[in-house]
Order: sequence, then structure tokens, then C-alpha cells
Amino acid sequence: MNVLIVASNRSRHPVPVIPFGACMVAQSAEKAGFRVNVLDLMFEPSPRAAVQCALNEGKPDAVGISVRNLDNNDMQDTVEHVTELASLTREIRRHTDSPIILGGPAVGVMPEELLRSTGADIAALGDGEGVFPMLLETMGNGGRCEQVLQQVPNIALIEDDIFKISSHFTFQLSTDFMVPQFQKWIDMKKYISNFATVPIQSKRGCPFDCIYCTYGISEGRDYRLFPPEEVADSVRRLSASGLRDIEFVDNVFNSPYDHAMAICEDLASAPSGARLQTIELNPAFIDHDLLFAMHRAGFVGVGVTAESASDHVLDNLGKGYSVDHLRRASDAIRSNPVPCFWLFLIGGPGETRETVSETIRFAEHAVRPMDVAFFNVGIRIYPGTPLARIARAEGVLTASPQEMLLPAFYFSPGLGHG
Amino acid sequence: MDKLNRLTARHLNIIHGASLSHPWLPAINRLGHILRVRQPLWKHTRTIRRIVRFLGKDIQ
Repeated sequence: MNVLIVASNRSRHPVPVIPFGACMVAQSAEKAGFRVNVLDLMFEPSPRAAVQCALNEGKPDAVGISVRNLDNNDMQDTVEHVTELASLTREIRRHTDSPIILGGPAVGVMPEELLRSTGADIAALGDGEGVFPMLLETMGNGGRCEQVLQQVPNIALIEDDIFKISSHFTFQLSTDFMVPQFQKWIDMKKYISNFATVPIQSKRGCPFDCIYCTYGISEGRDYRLFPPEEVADSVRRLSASGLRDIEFVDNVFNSPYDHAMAICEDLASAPSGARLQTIELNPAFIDHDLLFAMHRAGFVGVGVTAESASDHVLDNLGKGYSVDHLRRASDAIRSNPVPCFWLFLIGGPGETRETVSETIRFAEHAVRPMDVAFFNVGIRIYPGTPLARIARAEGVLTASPQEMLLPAFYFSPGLGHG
Repeated sequence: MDKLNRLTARHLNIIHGASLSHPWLPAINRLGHILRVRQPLWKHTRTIRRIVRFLGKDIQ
């Protein structure tokens, strides 16, 4: 069975992001015995021509489309990707009758809406490297919709205009696919020459209760951890292969704290030569010991998802930490040589001009010459999140879930319009 | 927004969403690689903004 996986993300802002999931799924499908090709559209001058060529040459029996983001999450300068995705799916359909399967983080958040808007056949939810090979095998055995729904967990489809979803299953993480052979599937030289970092995950799942976030929906709320020594070995292997700028793309790197600490200590015990980064540190779990261990492990940049320096707004966002935590994190960061990227969200529930001022004062105090404070204005509202319920109750959101494929943002009524 | 715009104009280390979609970013990334600048590029935000500001298209 021939399989084509199309990595559809073409955004190069702020940097091109390596299609981690698409490579992982390709590798798992190949290991399961399928002939797999990956078409990465990131640097293709003409996606339509590239798709046509890949379909004509590969004659795939199934086509997977990896969907990273629905939009750029920017209220001020919004770029939506759904129209382009629908057009891509139509183009694929024009050239093949083979089933089209959507996967990737965005699909787990809005599967029905994406299936309806693109006309794709099936949505694979959650861990693609587990679901996709099972799905291919069932379809290869002639399985039709009903069988596929019964036999394959974590998939969704539309039959007779009715949205159907199969049973949920939480896959065990497999270290086989923790780091795919990137060079085999995509043009890594192009990514590296455009300042991309190589992604790695040390865990999946997120138990936190941030009201706007979809990690719990797409990855589950329970942690699934890769063994620290396996993570450290993977970093060393990547670094030895010349891929030295490596970024932990966990939803939160430093929780559980002991897990992050164990990874750092292992890496420090046998230096990898890698330049490590993570943009996802939770301020509640930042202290001198962790930052010292991260520095020794080879971290050259960290990010803190602070969001706000107002206790009232932090409470409303469901962050689970306070401004005191932020201050302690800031003190620890200031006594450590690793540069820090602070992330703030302006416009959450309960935000006022006064709370914005508090956050700005904190940011001005926190940043050193080598640091950055980034302010994101407005919060993307996704269906199924507490923020969507709040926005509807406040009358801020009136769009139907289908209409929310196009970006809808929460911006505190307490701030007026700017 | 006015307040935030004034802040980002005044403080070279503080940026907002428009910075991440700045049209010159892909070229800045490429140039950073060619000049063998070490990651993370964002730690050079002050310097990059000074240069880009001098060229008349500030990143905020």
C-alpha cells in the first residue's frame, strides 16, 4: 500500500517549523510495512504542482494531510490557514479517489468542522503515530466506514451528513518514534538554513487548567513521560548527527519538575554539544536549581509563559500560579546567564487598563538586555474550552463552532477597543 | 493598544504580535544563518531592531 503524507504548513513566521508530527507518522507507517512518501509544502514554490506531481508519481492508496495550525493566533494581524487547507484537499481530490485523512494538532481540536469544510474522508485524532498505521491496515483489508469506526480508535468521519467518532484510546508513548529520522523525510538543510530548531518532546499530556488551551483536548490531561535517559540519549544522537539546535516542544517542559531535572542532569553528566531551548517553562516550577541544571545541560534559551502579572487575571485564566511565583521565577532567571523570552497575554477575562499596567511594569523590570518580553493581544477562542463558554456568556462570542474555524478572539470588554 | 505600541517603540526588548509576522523575518533568519549567529536569534532582538529601525522598518 502506497501512502503519501502531505505536511501542509507553509508559514515561515517567526521561523519555519519542522513538521515533527508528519515525520513521526511517516516513520511509524513505514515501520508497519507501508510504502511512505512525505511531501513537505513549506518551501515548495508551487504547492499545487508539487501535489499533482507527488500524486501522479506515487499513486498513493491513501493520502494523509498534516495540519499544524488553523491560523496564526494573532488578533491584530490575523492569517487563517483553513481556506488554503480546503483548497489543498480539493486539489488532492481532483487527482485521486484514494481516502484523504487529516491529522495533526489542529484536527484534534475541531475535527467535525475541518472534515466538513475540507471534504476530507477521515480525521485522525491524538497520537498520529499510533492511529495512522492502524487506520491504514484496516482500510487495506477493505474496511469501510462502519468497520473503520469499530476497529480503529481516535478517528472521526462524516457519514450521511452525521459526524461520527470512534472510541477513545490512550496510546503508550513509544521511544521508537520520539525522534524520527528527519533527514529521510524532509529537506533539513533548508530548515536549518532558515534558523529552524529541531523539535523533541519529553512528554505528552497536560494536567493544567488554562481556560483557553487545547493541549488537554489534543494530548490528554494525564502526563505520559518518556524516560529521562532516553530523552537525553536522543538529544545526543541528534547532536552527533549535526542537528545541534534542539528545542523541547513539550506543552510545559518543567513539569513534572523532577522529570525535567532528571533530563538536565543526565545531559550534564555526558555533554551532548547541543544548543537546547524551550519556550515553555511554567513559572510555578522555576527555581535556581532547575535553571542551573538547564544551563549545565546545554540550554541557551528559555521561555516563560507568564501571561499576566495581575493575580486577578491569572486566576481568571486558570493559570494556577500567582504574581509571587512570577517574581521568584524572575529573580532566579536574573541570576542565571541563559537568555529568557517572556510571554504575556493581554486581554484575558477581567483584564483592565490597570492590570495591563501591572503586567507592563513587571515586564520592564524583568527583561535584561539579552531577554525579550512578547505581548500577544487577544486570545484565540477554541470550541470546547472554558474560554469559549465565558465568551458566550459575556456575549463576546456569537459564532457557531463551524464558524470558529475562522479565528475568533477574546478581548476583555474591560479594555474597550484599544 | 496605544499604550502597548508606545511601550514597544520605547523599549527595544519588548515586542508584540506584529513582530512575529514582520515581512523581513524570513530574510533576517536567513541572514542570521549566513552570518553564523548562534541560536536563539531572539536574544539579539535589540540589535536587530536597531538595524531594522535604521533601515526604516522597525520591528515592534
